[in-house]
Amino acid sequence: MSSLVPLPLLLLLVTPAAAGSGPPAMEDEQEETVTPWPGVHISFHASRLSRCREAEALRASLGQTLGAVAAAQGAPSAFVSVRLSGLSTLSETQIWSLLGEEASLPRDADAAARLMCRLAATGVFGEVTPSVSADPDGGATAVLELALHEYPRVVRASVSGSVEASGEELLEAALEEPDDDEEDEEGCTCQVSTPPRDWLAFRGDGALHPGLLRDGLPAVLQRAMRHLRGKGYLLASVSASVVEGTLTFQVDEGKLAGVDVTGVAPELQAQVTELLALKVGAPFLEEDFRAGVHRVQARFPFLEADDDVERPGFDVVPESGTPGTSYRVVLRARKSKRNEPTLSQGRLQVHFHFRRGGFDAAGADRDGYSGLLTHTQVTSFAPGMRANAAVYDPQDRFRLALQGSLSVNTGSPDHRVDGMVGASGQVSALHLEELGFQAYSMTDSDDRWRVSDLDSSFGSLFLNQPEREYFRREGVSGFASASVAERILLGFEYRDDQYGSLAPAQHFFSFFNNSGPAANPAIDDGRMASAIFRLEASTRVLKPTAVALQWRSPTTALYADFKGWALDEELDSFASTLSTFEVGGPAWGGDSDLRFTRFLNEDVAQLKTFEDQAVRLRLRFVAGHNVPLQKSEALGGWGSLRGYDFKEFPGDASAMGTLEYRYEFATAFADLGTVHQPGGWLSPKLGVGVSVGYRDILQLAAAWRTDSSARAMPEMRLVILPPF
Amino acid sequence: MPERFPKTPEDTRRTRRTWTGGALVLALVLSLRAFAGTECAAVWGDGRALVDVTVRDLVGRDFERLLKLGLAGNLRLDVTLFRVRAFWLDEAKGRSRHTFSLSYSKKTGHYSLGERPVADPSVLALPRFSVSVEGNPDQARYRVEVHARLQVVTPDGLQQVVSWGSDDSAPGPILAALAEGLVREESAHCNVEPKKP
Repeated sequence: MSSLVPLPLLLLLVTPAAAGSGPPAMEDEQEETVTPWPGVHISFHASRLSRCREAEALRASLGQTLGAVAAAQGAPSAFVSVRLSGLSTLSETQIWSLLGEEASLPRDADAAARLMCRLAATGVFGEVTPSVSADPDGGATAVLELALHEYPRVVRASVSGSVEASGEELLEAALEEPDDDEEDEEGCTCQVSTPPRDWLAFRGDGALHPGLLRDGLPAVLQRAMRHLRGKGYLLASVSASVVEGTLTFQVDEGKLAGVDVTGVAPELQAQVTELLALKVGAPFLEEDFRAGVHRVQARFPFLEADDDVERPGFDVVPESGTPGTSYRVVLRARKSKRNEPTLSQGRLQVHFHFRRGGFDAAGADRDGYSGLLTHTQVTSFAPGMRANAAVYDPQDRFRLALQGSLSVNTGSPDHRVDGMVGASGQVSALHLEELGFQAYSMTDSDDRWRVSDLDSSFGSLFLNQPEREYFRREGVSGFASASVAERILLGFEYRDDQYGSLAPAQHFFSFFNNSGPAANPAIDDGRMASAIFRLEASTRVLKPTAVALQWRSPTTALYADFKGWALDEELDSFASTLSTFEVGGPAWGGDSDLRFTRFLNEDVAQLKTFEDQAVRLRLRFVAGHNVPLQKSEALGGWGSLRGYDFKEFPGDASAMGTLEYRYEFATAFADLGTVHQPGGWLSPKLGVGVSVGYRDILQLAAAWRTDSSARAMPEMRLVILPPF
Repeated sequence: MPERFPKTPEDTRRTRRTWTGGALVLALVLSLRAFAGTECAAVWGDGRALVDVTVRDLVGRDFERLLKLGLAGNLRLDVTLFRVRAFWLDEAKGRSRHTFSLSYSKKTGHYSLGERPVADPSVLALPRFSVSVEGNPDQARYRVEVHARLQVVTPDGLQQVVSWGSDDSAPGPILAALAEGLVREESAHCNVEPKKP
């Protein structure tokens, strides 16, 4: 005769949450306490596996129970067998096979607790409820009965309400396979047995595979939310229900109700909001906001903001009236740190902080060159430093830029120090990009259009090939430039300078060709005063930078971008043009023998043909009257007519064209040029070549001349930061 | 006109050195371009193109080592939305730029991309972003071009190493050039499709 052991205390309900394997009910970690029966308390973290602790509590409870059984019936302290009940879609055989155990083995309290833990950790049972009965065959021995409640079985699934998110992807994420990272890492005795995939509902090959909802509906919602937030939909919420085998998701990606910008002058509010480019009424995407903040900071460098939005918290709560079959996500605002962007009631609040000014001790120019490594044939090594400072107005009515530079000419005792100071203001209301002055006493060159500062210095330092000629220039300049539609620049500059010839450096050193400094011809000395009129235009937006203060040359653009494939930009199609007209003489305050005019036009067009491929065309024309030696024209050398010697063809006017085809890292080019000499125009000279390297940063170039002096061995150079 | 730099045996040696240096530059460029892959998918949503990008294998073993040494990588994404035109070049209708910092925490032993944890740095699934169309999108075919650029060694990072024992805190031109050489880039393009069901 079998007898039921009356053990009312043993009404232990083991849910996956209590066993530590189940889905967290809340997103946040929370300490919860349940009382499975009087006198026994189990604490657990809802969002974290802690099977060890729950196993301990179970073990203690089961031990108490077995002790009570032993005391009442005189039986040994073990369960002789385990019976499973309540299964609806799974069989007992499947469960024992999964666990790798047998029902009829004797189990003490430890083994029984482990078994219950393992059942809960499979993720297919919502409840594991133990009770104890007497063994019908064994008289006073105890049998552990475990009532199992399977999670809902799903045979169909649908998603509605989504505007942008893919329902298929959401289903796939919500029903994804167990993640190994979720396994218990505490080395518990509760071994996890992952159920076969066939038992579970999942999405594969574009269709739903029917099965049990792993870890239950709240966990499925958690995974759906994780998917949407991973995409960046921080305002998203989801609800889900299972009715008669149909899993239904209702998705709301979370539309942005509005944007509140603070910390910005009212005059700039509209521009900042436009740059943020967040579409009110459309689902909010976190990355759109981050990119918007970066756009604002690029346009207004004095505005700073945190680009990480505080994510709203969320809870998964059961829908009222449908216990266990329907849940929804409820968003809750989090207390944000000071000035952190927040989302509240669908509105984004973002605070910008105003920065009054900035200081850059490096004073690097557009190429990142700070002047530290200057080396020329007239100064030898000339280490120097530049510094830039900026002052901003909260309403951006003006920006003030200050710049200074100082360098020491180690090889030139007569001119030991070069220095420059300057200031420039930008007035946005007048479209005035610069209004300023500079005073200087420095080593200067009219050849900056040929090769970059860095290239010339490296060429001089290592190969004794500076590709430039230098002179001394001391004086002051005043300038003003205005822009039209951000793509055209009109400029005027007045210069009053004392020019002097520079002898080659007395103490010169070059690493691989130390045969004395390169030639540096004499110039027309004297006081030269001139006016320079400038027109720059580009299909690219003109970039106002403080670099315009330093080397203001009539032969190079101040604002328009001529770079084919610059350090920081994509290869794209563009066209840029530069024209300058310079007139000097006694009427402007200079010496009478330095009366001259010079006109220059340079055009560059690039057409992107395919990805990382482009055709580039450059045209350059210069003509003048009575041009002084320091400004005289000559073709030949890197940057002008490649393959020919530096300034091989002097004249009073020149015309040059370059055609290049760029294929990823390789370029083929042809230069064609001629100059006007007293006898007329020289027959055009053609130079051809190829180069390989990384963008317009570092190129190894080989060039051949094609005239009667042509040789098989090309001219070669490592070209650094070519100016066009 | 006399040659300013007559050819000498020194010139010949110089040319040889230049070739050697050039070969190294070429090898570096070629090695940086190898084995990277970027995937792009774009769908329409409420008048804007929604773009999902997964950058694969841009972080090689060498970059991983640098990240684990404590250098932070900078991943930049330049995205252009084109309207496809027959018999003519495609028209750019929208652009966006996205930057992410990639770092490794010795404390947790995990990588992170911005604020997001990354399980495997060789697969960087980036958050979705949108590219708005200038004007209204018409019935023409649109495509998205994505250019990913990962720079682990930045000029500032190099300066951090070089400036030991020096007061100079500015990343100089050599460092900038060196850092620019240590960049991995990859491009991908995809058509903008109607929203998936």
